[in-house]
Amino acid sequence: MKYKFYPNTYDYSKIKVIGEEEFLNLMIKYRNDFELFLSKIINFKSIDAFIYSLGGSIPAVNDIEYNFYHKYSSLGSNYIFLRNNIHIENLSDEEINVIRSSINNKKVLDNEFLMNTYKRVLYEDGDYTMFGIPMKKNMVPSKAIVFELSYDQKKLTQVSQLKVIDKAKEMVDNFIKEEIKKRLDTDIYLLVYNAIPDIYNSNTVVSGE
Amino acid sequence: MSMINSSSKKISLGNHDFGTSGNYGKIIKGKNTTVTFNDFYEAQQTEELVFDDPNKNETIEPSKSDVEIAYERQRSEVKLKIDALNAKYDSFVNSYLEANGNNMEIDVTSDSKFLEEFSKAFNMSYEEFQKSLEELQSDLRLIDAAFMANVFKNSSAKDIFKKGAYGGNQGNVANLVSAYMQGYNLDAVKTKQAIDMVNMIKKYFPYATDMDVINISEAFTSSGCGYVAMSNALCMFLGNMENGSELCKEKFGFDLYYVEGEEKFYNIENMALTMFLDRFKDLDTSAILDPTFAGGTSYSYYVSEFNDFLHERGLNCAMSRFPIDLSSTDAMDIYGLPSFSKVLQEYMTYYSGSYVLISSEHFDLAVMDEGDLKVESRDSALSNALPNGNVMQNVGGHAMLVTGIDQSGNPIVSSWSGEYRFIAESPARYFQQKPDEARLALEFFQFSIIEGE
Repeated sequence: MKYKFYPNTYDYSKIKVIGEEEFLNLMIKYRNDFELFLSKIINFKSIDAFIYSLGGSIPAVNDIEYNFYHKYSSLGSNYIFLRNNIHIENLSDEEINVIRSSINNKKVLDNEFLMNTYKRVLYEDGDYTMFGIPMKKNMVPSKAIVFELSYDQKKLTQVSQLKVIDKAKEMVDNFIKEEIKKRLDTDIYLLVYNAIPDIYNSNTVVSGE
Repeated sequence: MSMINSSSKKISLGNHDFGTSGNYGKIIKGKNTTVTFNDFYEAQQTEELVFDDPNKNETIEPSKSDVEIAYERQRSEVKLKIDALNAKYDSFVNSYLEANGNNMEIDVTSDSKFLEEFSKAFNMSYEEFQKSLEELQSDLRLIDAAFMANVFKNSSAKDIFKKGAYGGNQGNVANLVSAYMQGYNLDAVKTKQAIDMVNMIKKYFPYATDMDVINISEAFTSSGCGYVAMSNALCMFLGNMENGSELCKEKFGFDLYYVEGEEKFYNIENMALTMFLDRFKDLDTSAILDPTFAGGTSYSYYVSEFNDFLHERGLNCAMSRFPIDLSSTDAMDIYGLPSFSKVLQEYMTYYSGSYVLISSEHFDLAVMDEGDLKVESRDSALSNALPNGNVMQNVGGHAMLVTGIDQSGNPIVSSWSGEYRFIAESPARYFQQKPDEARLALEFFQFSIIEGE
């Protein structure tokens, strides 16, 4: 299986040194364990129930192979995904070895390790990063944990459903900010993605034969 | 007074692929491969530059204005002086070498015999000679810059490239259509623009549901950069024509601009949307919304479908594409910018009704006026402070209209209705890291009216 690393913000030269396949495994492991940590703060499955409760039958993006951020999600939600890129290449060799051995020993990365590293792994350079096509709505603070609220706009039948999504966005945004900031000293950003265009589908970290 | 904000913003792109893909057209007579920048420059100098014109329509050249004629005269006077000095220098060097043995190598800046004879022949020192040549070159740049500024001041460009709305923005299509369809309040001009866009979508896709209309506008926005870059140029061309607004209404089916008070609002986005819709008019709505749909532009789109679109409306566009070989040492010359900016400047100021798009992947843009990407209110004079930050790094595949050239030779471009400085050396820098992906091409376009229309 071949993997391709598309997002521009990755340091490709370091990915090549580690090896693309191992790099992907390290990313998946780190992301999984960080999501596990987040899941102890927020029950992300309950957000799905909340979105259903708003009515409006908001269609989720059903394809789990959709992209890296969906495929390897362990948050358990159909709507909310961790959207940060996972910059393993920003870690020291020693820290990368910690992840390697936790994979080999089937152990979860401990909180102390995650707390010491997550800003280097998740944050991007500069002040803002464009997560998607260059529009204001996709301009995200670089130093933030970024979640994606995604839905399949192509499957909407009524224009009024868009107002339900606006409402869901506002309430979910407030909720996750409040809860996570109790535990972590970081900015939180909720990005809305309507699956038009499917730019992440083939142009993010994807797997392919 | 301009203030430098300590929290100047640095922006990078986490994802890319929003538009153009490389497609290499015919370039220079007799050549059909990637050319180096020097080939390009020499071809331009020797008038070998030819335009792709697949339909070979008879076209008429736009007539030159008094300002253009005055500019060309002023420019050629200086150019003649430069050429005369260069010719005199060449002939002096030739005769000096003949007299002193042809194969010798001399350092003209330090060889005392050469410098002495030079002073006698020219009545000035070699250093003074170089200085006067540089002064003339600088005069030429000033004449060009003044002309370009004048072109902008006295043309539709002043209404199209405004502070805060520097050219069209593909995002406006999705924003306005969605807001209008949801019944949100828009101001008078935006309401008219939104209605035009909705009507245009329904004209091409009569069976589209309300949600389809919104989704098609989203699909356009995601791949709209190449259409908007071209629409900026086309609207500018139409705006500069005496009967351009009538022509737009008659042939394209909508108003070229709306007037509110004393301000003109060009319908650049609707023009871009119309190009997009016309291109995909034979598809079903569902095909446009399919995940595999690729609606972005490439040079081949301009050559074929876009030109067909224009021909049906009585216009023609001659075009030429110059991919720049970023691996060659010529590309590295771009670091110094001399030939790059010279070609752009000469082309943009010399040919009437001509426009240049930059099509690139992996490059940096310095923000001059943020347009839609405005994050905070700031003095536009800040542009001089930009090297300290405020750079959009590593932008993905994108097309932009060149609107000018700054003092150091970097092109100024319109993108996302913001004003940016294209850092000309950046693609060659990214090429070192990503040789398979980094690319840079200049695309030259010249509109004209088809005779008899």
